[in-house]
Amino acid sequence: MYRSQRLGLKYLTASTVMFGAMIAFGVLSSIYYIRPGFLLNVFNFSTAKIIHIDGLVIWLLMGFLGAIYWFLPQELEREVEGIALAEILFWVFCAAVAVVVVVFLFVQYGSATEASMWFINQGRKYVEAPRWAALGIAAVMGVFAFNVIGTAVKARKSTGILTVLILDLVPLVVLYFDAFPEMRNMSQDLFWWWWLVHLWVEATWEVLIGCIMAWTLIHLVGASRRVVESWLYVEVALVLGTGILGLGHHYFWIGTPRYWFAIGGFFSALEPLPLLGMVVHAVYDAGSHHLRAANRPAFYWTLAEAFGNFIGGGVWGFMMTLPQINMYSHGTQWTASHGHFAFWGAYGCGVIAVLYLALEKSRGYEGIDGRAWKWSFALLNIGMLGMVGALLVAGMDQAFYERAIGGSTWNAFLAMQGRPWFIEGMWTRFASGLLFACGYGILVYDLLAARPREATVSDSMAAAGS
Amino acid sequence: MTPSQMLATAILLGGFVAAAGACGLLYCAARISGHKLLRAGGYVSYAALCLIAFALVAFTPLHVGWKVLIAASCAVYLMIPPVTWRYLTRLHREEKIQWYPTSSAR
Repeated sequence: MYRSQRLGLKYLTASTVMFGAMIAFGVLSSIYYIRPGFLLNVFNFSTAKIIHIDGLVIWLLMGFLGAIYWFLPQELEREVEGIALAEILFWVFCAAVAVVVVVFLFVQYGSATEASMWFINQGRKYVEAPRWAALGIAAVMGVFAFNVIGTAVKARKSTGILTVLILDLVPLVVLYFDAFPEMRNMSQDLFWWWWLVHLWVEATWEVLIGCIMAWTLIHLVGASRRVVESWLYVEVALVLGTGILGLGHHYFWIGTPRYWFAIGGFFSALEPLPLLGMVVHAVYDAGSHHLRAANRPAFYWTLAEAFGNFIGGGVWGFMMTLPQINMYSHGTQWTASHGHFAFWGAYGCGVIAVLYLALEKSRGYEGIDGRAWKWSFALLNIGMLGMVGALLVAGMDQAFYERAIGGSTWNAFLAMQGRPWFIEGMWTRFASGLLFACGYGILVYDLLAARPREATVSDSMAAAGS
Repeated sequence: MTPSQMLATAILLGGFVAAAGACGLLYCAARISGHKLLRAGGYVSYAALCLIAFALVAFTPLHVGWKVLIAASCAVYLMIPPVTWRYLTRLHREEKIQWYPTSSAR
């Protein structure tokens, strides 16, 4: 095993730990909605939510880094350039995340000074990490980009997937610098802040996960590189073509010009088209392998990624993206429902597929199967469906009564908190969150205790047939 | 747009993409298995897609531009599964010819 692959395993382990932290703080955040006085003056809802959402960003980012450090040396058949620096930065990254969480837990917030921004909270939603930690993340991303590009240059070799990845690394790293500027004008600040949030999530991360899933398919089911790469080019062109200007679907209530509504609505209305193509591709691949693969959990999580991305991103997104709907649904629990589903489908399932693939190869197994992964697969997905269903109902209720009828006033907001459908939605979300947490527990157990798959009679027949 | 129309329109929009997904899924499943029931399911899904598109165009207060987009999407969603399928099949066939030229020539 290459050193880079060992580093990849460390990143994937850290990613799994952060996944757990994200779930814990998600469940904690959901309690505030049903018990508003919960931990009053002890631990703010806003801080719990910050750790939940930043935990999401970090577990996925660590999962992506782990996946790429795992696949890269196999792709180029050599050790990754600058691996020693990457190993040091892994520990720096983990230490920085731990310190930031401790500060969020025990300090929580500070006065409106430069010192608070540097050492407590940067104050920008989803990238709240204090400035010193944000600089650390930028350094990790910079070294990661150097690792990938430097290895390709040293190897004097590149593949289609790697070229797409290298091209994607430029905006991925550059856009992160958008987390730093201080702007006094709130509209300008939010205008550029969305470039970071949207273009990471709906452009650069989409390409990143596309590359990771392409490698996963090659290593998981022996998919043809040429086929996978051709499809990756088409997918990347369509995703970027529709995703970049889909940015406008966030530009509500922040003072941006009206034309952004039409631009955002139009391009995000096209976003389900490539997602449908991905579903067709997934069914084609699943069918050509007769729903059989040696590493069954990785195979099923890969399928879940394609379907989850389509339903969470495509169906849930299209429901609320046109301006006449978006102006009411924007920022309600409806958006939270879409966010949960889309992140889970597009990224979460993909990272779990890579976890199982790396597990199989690192332990030298010829496939993985068993009962535990089926339980975790079912509980995680049922829990997620429960959460997004509950949030959807609560969000529609909120858009209807608080926004459309109540006119988004403070009174309407307070009255909304007592509406039965909203309260029931919040309880259902909490219960489903617990179910999801149980699924996570079984997932961790399975990752620790997974056994190699035993060859079955049908396998022998398939082998004889082929 | 009244609050009730807003909710009805949103549900129809979600149903529109869900029907497109079902159509694509059943089309592919029918192509793989050759099952008539799955093929019929694909047709039913597309019919549902057209009905939802009609409802969106005829009964919702969406602006004309969005209605045109929905009508056009309805046609595009019909094409995506077979076009993607043909593209994937061709890629796989070319791959086989490249790797096993003699056996495919036979």
